[in-house]
Amino acid sequence: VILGFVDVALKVISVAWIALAILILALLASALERFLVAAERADDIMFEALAGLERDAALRLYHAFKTRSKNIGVAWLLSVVLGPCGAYAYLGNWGRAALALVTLNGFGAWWIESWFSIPQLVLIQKREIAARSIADLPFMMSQDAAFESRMGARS
Amino acid sequence: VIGDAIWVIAAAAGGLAWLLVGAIGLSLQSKRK
Repeated sequence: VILGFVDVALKVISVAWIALAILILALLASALERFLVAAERADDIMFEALAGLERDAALRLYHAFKTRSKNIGVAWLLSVVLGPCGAYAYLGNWGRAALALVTLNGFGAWWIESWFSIPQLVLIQKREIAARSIADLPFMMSQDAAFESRMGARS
Repeated sequence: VIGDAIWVIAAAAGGLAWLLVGAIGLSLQSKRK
């Protein structure tokens, strides 16, 4: 009787695990959809700014934006595989990464939360970086002009 | 952009580690039976 009970308990547990796996897959699909929408929006912000610029300025601005901003796909992948510990380390927020490491990714809860919040966070950072790059563009162009005039004087 | 490769490799290593955990768990479960 006891062995039969153990057998039934094991079956119930394995069914619960399968249900949990399906739930997690549904959550991941939802996060992926959100991430794809966010990635499209982030690029739109930059292309709107680039539309009204000359070629040199547009190249400079796009390069500055690309090198400064983080990849939403990489951040999302890290948040899925390694949790907020990996994702926040990638985003340069080492304090939160250390906190996640110490608390074992917030005892799992922060992990699930990060699948949804990390792409959104990268999007917000991208917007800030886009605005900052646009604000810095005159300075970057003046630096380029100074560099070119110096190189021209040398040759 | 180049620095991203390190993080992608880290994610791949993490994924492999999870697969290893799953394999160990399955082998332990089959041994118990």
